[in-house]
Amino acid sequence: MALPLTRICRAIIQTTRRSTQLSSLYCTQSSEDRKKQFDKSLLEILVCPLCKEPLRYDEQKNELISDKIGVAYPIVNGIPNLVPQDARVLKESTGS
Amino acid sequence: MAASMSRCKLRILLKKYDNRHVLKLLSNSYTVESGYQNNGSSKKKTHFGFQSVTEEEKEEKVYSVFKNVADKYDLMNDAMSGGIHRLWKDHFIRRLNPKQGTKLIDVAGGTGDIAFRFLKYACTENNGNLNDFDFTSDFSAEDFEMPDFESEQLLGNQEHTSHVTVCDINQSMLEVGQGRASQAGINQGISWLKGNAESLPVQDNTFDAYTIAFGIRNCTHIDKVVEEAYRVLKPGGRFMCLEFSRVPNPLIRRVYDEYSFQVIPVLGQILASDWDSYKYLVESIRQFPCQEDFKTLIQTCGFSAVTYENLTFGVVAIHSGFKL
Repeated sequence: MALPLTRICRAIIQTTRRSTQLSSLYCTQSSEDRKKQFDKSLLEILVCPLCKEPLRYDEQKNELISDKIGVAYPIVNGIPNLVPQDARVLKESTGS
Repeated sequence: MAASMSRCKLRILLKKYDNRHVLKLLSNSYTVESGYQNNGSSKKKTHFGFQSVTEEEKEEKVYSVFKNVADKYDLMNDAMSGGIHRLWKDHFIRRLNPKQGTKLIDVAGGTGDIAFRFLKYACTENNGNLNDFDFTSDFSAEDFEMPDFESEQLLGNQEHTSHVTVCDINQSMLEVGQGRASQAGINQGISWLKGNAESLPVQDNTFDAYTIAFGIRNCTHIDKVVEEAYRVLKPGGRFMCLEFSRVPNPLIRRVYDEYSFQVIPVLGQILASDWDSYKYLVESIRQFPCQEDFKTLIQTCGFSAVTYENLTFGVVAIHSGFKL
C-alpha cells in the first residue's frame, strides 16, 4: 500500500513541475494566438440561442448579429460567444 | 425615449421567447423594472455543492469555479484520480465508437480531452478495431502529453471528415483547449464555441453524436441540457454522458467519501491554491441523481434505448441514449 502511494506522490510532484513548464508555454501560445480568426464554417450550423434563427457575421466589428431580435454576440480570440447574457442589444436606429 | 423603447423591446422579446436569459441580456443594457425580474425562475433555489443558492447565483459561481481552475484543470484531474480519468475517457470514446465522418458536439468539453480522443479514434486506420487501437493507458508523470496527430489524417473531403464542435460556457477552459490543440498541431476538424448547454446556439438535427463528460452536474437545469441534446441530434443520433455517479457498495462508498472530502480539497489547495473550488466539485457529485434516476430523466426527454454502465465500482457511469 505504501509503495503505490509513494509512486503517486512522486508522480504528482514531477507532473507539477512539467505542468508549470507547459503552462508557461501555453501562456506564450495564447498571447501569440490572440488574433485567431473566427471559423466561418460554423455559420452553417450556428443560430441565435434565443430565437434559433441564423446569424450574420459582421467582420468589421467581429460580431455575430441576430437580425431577428436585434442583438450582437461578440467573438473573442476567434471563439464565438453565444451566451445570451454576454450579447449586446443593437440600437433601434441602426441595423448594425 | 430610449428607456421606453427598451421596455417595449423587452415586452416583445419576453412575449415571444419567455426566456430568463432575455431578462439578463437586456438588464445588462437597460434598467429593468423590478416586476420583470420577478418572474420566479431566477429566484428559485438550487444547490451549489451543499449550499443553497438561487439559480442565477449558481451559474455565476460555477463560472467562477472553472475560471479559477482552468489552468490547473488537467493537472488536478490526473492528481485526484491517479490518472484513472484518462482510462474512463478512453473507454467512453470506445463505447461511442465513432466512424469516419462523424459530426460530434462535445458540450462542457473546454480543455478538449474528449474532442482530441474522438478525432484520433475517428481518423485512424484502426477505426472500429478496439483491440488494436493504441490508447496510452498507463499513468506516468513523463507521459503528460497530448495525443499525436498526423495533420494529413484530418484533411480531405469535408463530408467524410470527422469534426468536433467543442462547446463550453467558460472562456478560460476553451482557451486552454485551444492552446492544447495548437500544441498538438491540430488545426482542422475542431471548432470552439462558447455557449450555454441549456440553450445551444445550434440548429436542430445537426449532429451525429453528442457527448458531455464531467460537465452536466454543473448545469443548473439538467433536464434542459438533455432536451437540448435531443434537439440538436439528427434522428438516429446518440447521446452519451460520462459523469460521476453513486457507488452502490456501502463499504467502498465510505472509502470514496473519505477520500473525496478529506483528500481532494487538500490536493486542490496544494496544487491549485484553491480549496473552495475542489470542495464544490466533490459536493456537486453528491447532488447529482443516481444512475437509475438519470436514466429515467433521459428517457423522459425523448431518448430511446437508454442504458448505463458503471465504471470503477460506480464512481463514474456512462449513460447512453438514441434519438429514434
